[in-house]
Amino acid sequence: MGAFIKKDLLVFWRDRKEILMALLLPILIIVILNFAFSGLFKDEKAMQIDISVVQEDDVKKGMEQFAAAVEAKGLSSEEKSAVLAEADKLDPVQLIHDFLNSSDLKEWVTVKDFSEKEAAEQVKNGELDAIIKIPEGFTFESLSHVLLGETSQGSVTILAEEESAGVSTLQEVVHSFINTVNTQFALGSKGVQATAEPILPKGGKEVVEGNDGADAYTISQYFTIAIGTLFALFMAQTVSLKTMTEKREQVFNRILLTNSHPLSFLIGKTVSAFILSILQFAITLTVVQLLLNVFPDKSFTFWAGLMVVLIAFALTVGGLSALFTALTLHLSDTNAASGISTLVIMGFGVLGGSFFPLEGLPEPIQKIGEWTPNGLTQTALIEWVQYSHFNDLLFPISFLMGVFIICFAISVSIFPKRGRS
Amino acid sequence: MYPVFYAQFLKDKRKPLLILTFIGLSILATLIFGNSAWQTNTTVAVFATGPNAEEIEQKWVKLLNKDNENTEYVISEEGEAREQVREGKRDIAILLMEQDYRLITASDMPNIQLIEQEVHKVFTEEAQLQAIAGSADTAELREEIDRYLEKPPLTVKIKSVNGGELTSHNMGTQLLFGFTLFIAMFTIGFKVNGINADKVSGVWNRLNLSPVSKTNMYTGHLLYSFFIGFFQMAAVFLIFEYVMNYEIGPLSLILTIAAVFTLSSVSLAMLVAGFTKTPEKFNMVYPSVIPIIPIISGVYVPPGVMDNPVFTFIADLFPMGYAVEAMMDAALFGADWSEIMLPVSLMLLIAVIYMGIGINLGERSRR
Repeated sequence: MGAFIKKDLLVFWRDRKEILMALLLPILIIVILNFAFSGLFKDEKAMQIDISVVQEDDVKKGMEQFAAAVEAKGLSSEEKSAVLAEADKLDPVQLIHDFLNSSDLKEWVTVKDFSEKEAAEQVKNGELDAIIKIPEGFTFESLSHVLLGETSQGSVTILAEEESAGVSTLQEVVHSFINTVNTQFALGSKGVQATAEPILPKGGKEVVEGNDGADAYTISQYFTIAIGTLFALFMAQTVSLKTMTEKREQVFNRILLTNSHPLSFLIGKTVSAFILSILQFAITLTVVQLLLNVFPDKSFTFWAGLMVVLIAFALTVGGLSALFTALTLHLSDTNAASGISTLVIMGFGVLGGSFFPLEGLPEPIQKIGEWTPNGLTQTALIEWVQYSHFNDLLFPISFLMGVFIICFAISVSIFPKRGRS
Repeated sequence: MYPVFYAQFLKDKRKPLLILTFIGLSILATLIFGNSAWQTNTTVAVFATGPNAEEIEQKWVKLLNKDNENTEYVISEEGEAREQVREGKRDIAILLMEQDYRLITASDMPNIQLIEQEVHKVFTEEAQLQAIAGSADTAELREEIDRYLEKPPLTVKIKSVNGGELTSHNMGTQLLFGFTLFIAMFTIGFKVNGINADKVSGVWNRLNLSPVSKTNMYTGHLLYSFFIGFFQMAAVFLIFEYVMNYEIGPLSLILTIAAVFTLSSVSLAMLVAGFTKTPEKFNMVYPSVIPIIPIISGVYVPPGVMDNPVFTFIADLFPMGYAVEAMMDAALFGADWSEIMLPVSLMLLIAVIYMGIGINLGERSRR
């Protein structure tokens, strides 16, 4: 039996291209995903957008126009001077400029000076992300609305080439700023004044309680586990598909003639798939941990638990590999066998959430996904990262072992008996 | 060429189960994923504790759901909500209090920040209103302000630099196209692998001895793969358009892009088949490379997120980014034939190059 395990490991070892594939790809993908997601969302400062403010409105002219409008309204002189005094204090254009240059926004918004034509070109070139345009008559229109109750509206326009993460954030920020200003105006118009300081919500996050100070799990941990388990599943397929070659090149028939028990062949596949996926986990996790520090400051217990779960998962991988091997030998059409194994692996990958997160999918699919080996491992490890309760691991481990036993039993039962084939 | 093509068809016709399952499951998967992507609506569980929990829940849920289109806040039971967060089934739940809130979470997933912003805004607004009204009953004041804000003094408009409307980017549409293309690539690869299978089984050699030319042998195989792949995609798009009534843009444009994409995917699969040489290795390499492509092409994230120059360069080597971009342009921004020419021709270029390298590699002596 040892010889068979050695054979399968050697077959794998001989093909360096394959080894590189199996070892480098998962690491590469985890690193890519990490860059793509966590880098952006963790610190918003990573986002930088360049805008230009084009001001067509002449504040002075607007004020004069407004004064004229007040004049024409026919108010009493006291009211007039009151309104004009209010208007002097209020400069909507300045308000917007102040906002765009406020320290909060400075961190990620750079305001550059361009003429309108230049700015439009820059936006098209992709040099600028957006233009904020303050159109002519802005001051006049907004002042007459606020102070005279006219229906005119001053409107700021954001011009962009196409929507992007940056532009929509900018849009949101400007929107909420304008909203706040409007609300202030609204309150002003009702003549209400705050009677007390508002009791602002403290908000804050509460990480779900664990007995021993639970840690939140991070998105990179999610990726690491998802991709790691996915590639272990691929490993099951890789090892078992070698059977196709062995069947085609009559290796299997020759083995049968050597008086070794046919099941040794199966056990060879199972054990080598198990060993290879453990190696894959070990290398992937070590490299990813060293490169990205995915699991910072974890105790020895944590790593031990992680290892136990992954070993159980590797066992399932071995079981699947046995199943695919037996299937390849059982079915006369090897293509069908590889088709079926691809379907199984892809099904697990998709349903277990290894390709993309399952949130937002219909409930029944999520439920099924939790029962795929990789989905279950994912859930178990997410809990383990947070709480490190060993009891939580018992069920997934026994489930994974159960899958292994069932797969192995099925493969033994459909494995070609001696004398047939 | 025709006999080779027909032979492939006959093989499938004799054992139709496998290929039909493959296509059927692919279509099903695309429909399910595309469908749920289309209606992206996060629900967030909220709950309150204490004697007047119900009152608090009712009050805040109404306010929280008022302006937020993408998130739905649902009252739920405390134990259940906590349990779901604990097991990682949901990212977040919210504990509501009289004037404050706590986010219950176990992770630092990106959308938590978005939800926090939304919730914080609602609570702050309410707090300010309460301070002004001087009592907890803000309904009247709120109504007055709402009336005023129906015609606010300041507004923000968003426009395209070209003067038209800036169509908002629709993540659901992007995911729908992305999934369709992604899953079709598997079917295509599965069929292209037939060349490798023929090579190792000796059929290829026998064909070599027949009057059929090499070119015809390849064209027959690849054309068949093309048709299967295109059939699958066309079926998916037709179902989306006519059965589910999604607006996926002008069908003629979308199907043209899909056809060109299929062609370049066939080339990509041929490239992999060329350097793997046996069907087993193909089955090992191809499925592990394909899942990276949509990730790196930024199909799962809004545009502008994947801006690392190295990754964008790698993504440019694959047809998927171009195809999704062209389909999005056609579906959302009303692009016409001239505007999709660039991505289409780039995909054709990829098709030609990969096909050339792939066949060349495949023709090199084996072993």
